Parts: sequence; C-alpha cells; structure tokens
Amino acid sequence: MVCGKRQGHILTNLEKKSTNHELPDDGSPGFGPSTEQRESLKASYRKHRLRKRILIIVLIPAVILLIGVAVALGSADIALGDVYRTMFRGILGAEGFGDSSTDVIIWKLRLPRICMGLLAGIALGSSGAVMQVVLRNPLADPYMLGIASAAAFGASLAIILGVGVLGGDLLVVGNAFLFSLLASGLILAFSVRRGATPQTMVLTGLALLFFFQAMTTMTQYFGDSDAVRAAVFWAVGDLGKADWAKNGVTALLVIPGTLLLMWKAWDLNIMNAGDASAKSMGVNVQSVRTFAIAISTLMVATVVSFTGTIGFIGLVSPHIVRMIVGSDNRILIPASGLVGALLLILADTVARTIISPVILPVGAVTAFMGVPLFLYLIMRRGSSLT
Amino acid sequence: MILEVSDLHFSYGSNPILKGIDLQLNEAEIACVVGPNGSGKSTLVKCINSLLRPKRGRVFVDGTRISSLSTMEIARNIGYVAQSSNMLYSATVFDTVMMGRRPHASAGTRERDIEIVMDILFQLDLGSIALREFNQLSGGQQQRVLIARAIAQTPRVLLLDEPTSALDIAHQLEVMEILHELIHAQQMAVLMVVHDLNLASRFADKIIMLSDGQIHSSGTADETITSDSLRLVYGVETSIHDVNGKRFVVPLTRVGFDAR
Repeated sequence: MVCGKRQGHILTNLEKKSTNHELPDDGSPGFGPSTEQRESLKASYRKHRLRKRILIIVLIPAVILLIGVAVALGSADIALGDVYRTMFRGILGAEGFGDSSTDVIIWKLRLPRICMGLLAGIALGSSGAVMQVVLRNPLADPYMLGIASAAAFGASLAIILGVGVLGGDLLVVGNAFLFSLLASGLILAFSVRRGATPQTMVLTGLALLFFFQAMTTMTQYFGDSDAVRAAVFWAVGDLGKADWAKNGVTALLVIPGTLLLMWKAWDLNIMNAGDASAKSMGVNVQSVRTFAIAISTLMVATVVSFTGTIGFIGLVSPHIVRMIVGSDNRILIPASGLVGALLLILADTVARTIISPVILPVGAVTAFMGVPLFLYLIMRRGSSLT
Repeated sequence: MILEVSDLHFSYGSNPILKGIDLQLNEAEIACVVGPNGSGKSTLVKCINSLLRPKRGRVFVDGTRISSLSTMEIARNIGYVAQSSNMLYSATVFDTVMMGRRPHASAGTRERDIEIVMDILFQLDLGSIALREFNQLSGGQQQRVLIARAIAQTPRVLLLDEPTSALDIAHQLEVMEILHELIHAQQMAVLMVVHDLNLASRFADKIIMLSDGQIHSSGTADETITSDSLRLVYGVETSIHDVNGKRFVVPLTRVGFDAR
C-alpha cells in the first residue's frame, strides 16, 4: 500500500458544498500521502494516458503508408514515391496534373477506391466500437441492427424490379440509402420508447434484419437470373463502385459523424457502469444512446449504400484495439476507425492483386481474413473478450 | 435536515411497491433500510434519486425538491452505489473514480478534477491500485472504488444498495468504517440498504424497517430491532443479545416451523 494505514481521513482538500470550489492555497495535502506520493501517482497517470494515445499517433502514419502501398500495387507498377508525389499534386491542383497516364491511373482508378476504403473502414470501425458499448454486447457490429439487409433489399428492388425512389444513376444507391435510413429510423423509434433496453434493441434489430432478408429473398425469387446475379453481386461488399462524388458524400457524413461519436466518448465510458449508475452520475443515458445510434446508423447507411455489405471490420477492429489499449472510448473510437481503415484497405489490396486480373469482392476477403483473426483473439483471451 | 422524503408511493403497473414512505435524515447520519426481500428497499432508494419515478410523494435534499432538478443536478446532490457493480468494459481505478466528476464537468476543470480524484484515492487507500483495471480487483476493492466514485460527485446524500452483501466480514466492517468516517468528512448523510441486522444495529444512527412497502418501524436499533418486530416483519423467532452495548440478533426458527 502506498500510503500505509489509512489515517485520519480528514478530507480537507475536498471541495465542500456551499463554499466555493477552491483548493487550499498552500497545496499541501491535509492527510495521508506525502507530496511525493501524489506527484508520483499523477505522473504515472499522465504516462498511462500518453501510452494509450501513442496508438493513435502510430496508426495515422501507418494508414498513410498503407494507402501509398495500396495505390502503388496493381497491374501497372508505380513507384511509391510517384504515388505520394501524384497525390500531393492532385490535392494541390498542380499545373499539368492529369496529363500523364500515371496521374490518371492513380487519381481516377485507384485512389477513389482506396479513399472509399479509408472512409468505410473508419465508419465501420468506429461505429462498431460504439455499438458494442451502447448495445452492451461484445458481438455487436454496425450491421446487427438490420441496416445492411435493408440496404440490400432496397438495392434488390431497384436492380431486379426497377422500382426506385430516385431515378437514373441514383436508382440503386438511392434505394439502398433510403431503406437503410428506414431501418435506422425504426431502430431509433424503438430506442426512444420508454423502457427500451439494449437487449430489446438488439432483438428489434435482429427482427428487422430477418425481415429485410426475407423480403430480399422474395424479390429475388421472382426476378430473372441475370438481375438476381447483379443484385447478389451488389450486396457482397466491393469498393469498385467508388468515385470522387461518392467519396465526397461519404466524407461529409463519416468525418463529422466520427468526431461526434468521439465527443460523447466519456459519457459512453460512464455508461459501461450500467444505466442506473450512469444516470446517477448525471449522464442522460437514453439521449446519449439515441444520439450514438443515430450517428452510427447514419454513417453505416451511407457506407453500405456505396459499398455493399463489408463484414467483420466493425466487429474485429474494436476488439483489436481493446486488446492493445483497453476500452477507454476516447481512444477506442478513433483507434477502431483507423484499424478498420487499415484492415479494409489491406483486404481490398489482397482482393485486387491476389489472382489479378480477377478482382475478388472485398466483403468476402474481409471475412476470410477476419474469421481466423477473430478466432485467434477469442482463443488468446478466452472468455474475457469483454 | 439534509434528506426529507414524504408520502412516497411507487407501483409497477397496478402492483403497489411503496405505500407512503416518510423519512428524514440529518447531516452525518447513517440510516440503514432493512426488511425482507421484496419489501421495497431497493425501490425506495431508486425513487429517492429519481432512477424510478414515484407515483406520488416528494423528495427534498437541502430543501430542494428533487423532481424539479435535471439529471446532472441530481447527480451533484445524490451519489448512488448500485447493487451490482460489474462494468461491461473495464476502466482503470483512476478513470472510474474520475467518472464521478461527470456532474461537475465543465471546460477547464480537468486539472482540478485530477487533484480531487487523487485526494479521494488516497483517502480510501486506493493510491497503490489506481492504475489497475477495475474488473481485475477483488470484491472488497471494487466496493471501495465504487464508494470513491460516488464521493467524487461530492454529494449531500449517499445511497448504497446492499454494499456489504458480497463481502467477507473484514471488508464488511471496512466499508462501514469508511462510510462512518466519510459522513463527517464530507458533511453528508448515508442511506443504505442492508440485510445484516447486526451490522445495521452496530453502525446505523437510524434504522428504517420496511414491510410490504410500508415503514413498520423506524428509530434506533433498540426501538426497531425487537423480537416482536422481527417476528412480524420477517416471520422469524429470534433471540436478541447485548454485545458491547449493541443489539445482536440470532435467528432461531421461522414462525410456525419447528427448530431443527
């Protein structure tokens, strides 16, 4: 024990009601531990927090490096240095940019796809971390609430029956987005009901998931085989549909969304103590939960509309981060986003290059890579995955 | 008077749980709520800090009606240690206690919050385990951390729901001693649910005995813990002894059953 026997217990330093909230001027603790003990604890606390932040500091350059490598790899070989030079010139809008074939390959073909991988990875990873907290379920992921299956149903309607809310180019994407919004709206409507618990929300989400799956099956049952094939291909996650416009829309939702989730990180930490305890500490549990689910589902709805269902990223990324730095949401949310981006870009690079020129659907590759990784984590940690 | 509860009613649907509870609590007092399972003890505690919405009745802390306050303001006045304490995802002891600063959080107070948390950590002898994960601590240590977390709210009233029931006798005494010291140091009142009548008799300034949603009796241990009241409320024949001037209950048989 650092301070030996508990002695005195006079809380002179603690603020009292009615009086102002000032500490004594002399700075000397009125009891127990010496100044050195206090300073040493304060220093170790700071070090402890810094150590966790280092993960973020390491992940950011790792993601940038991986983006470069991913852009460089492909049927046309490009040197890593050229990749960064072209990206830099493209961002700055340098004169004569876009003239060379390298510029075109990088800027028009590879970068939109990889940029979508970055954004989708961030959205899936960070919302996965948040879902696991608000649904109080270590197996939760962003698709658990039926959002992806709603999107797939919307897309099937458009592809197979040609039925859509928006016409033209936006027929499929618009349908997918609107149906996934419908699913998240239903979830939110349930979450604001009195007496809604994480358990009832998980069950509601699963019910929606099966409902939309059944609807998709019915639609496909009556479709012709080419259209069904196209609908199935749509549903399997793929970054190849990305262009800069889609990236722009996604970024507009994912970047502020992730920041908003990080803003609620401390309240989410407190909610780990249980609803009653969190409320007794001043957290408005119901509204934080609704807010977090609204933001997460909106981000996921956007991503899923543009990429289809990319599994395992949202489930695995938070668990990888938890194993390294624990469950502090202030670190967990951004780090899970970055790990999600790393995993997704990596999986997409494998999907593009492993049996080139055939490009595998990245949704299948993430599952192939994710399942063994996940099993390994479970074996290593046993039942203490939480 | 810090805490005043008057005519408190609560029901789950049409099933009444609390049927008109009145109680008062002064600064530096410990009140123990005792009574059989299902008599409404936990419900009473949750109604006091608005975790449950009472059907009727009023709760005042320092003269302010609780139902007129926001969640945040209630948290500044009332601390709460729940019956089950497991954290879904664990945090360090330091961060766990820091969570108690939530109702006071405003920009620019972080440094001060760290100082306050450290005061509490050392006061409750948690300094040496401050950077351990909460979920890896023993039950006794966890209970101390949870009390520390509630104290970090600097509440006027501390509510505890069976804080000692999962602890060994040494840690039961430790928790009671900590609370006894804190009520003076923190200028607050403690209302706790306990099952152990002997612990209540030894440490409580006031005992509130609930029976079927009503107060059967309240007052000192001498006034409340009697063979008659225990027979009526618990349906148990007891033998009551005097140990160092405190009442000591030995349960004998359930009423209507033969002794084994």
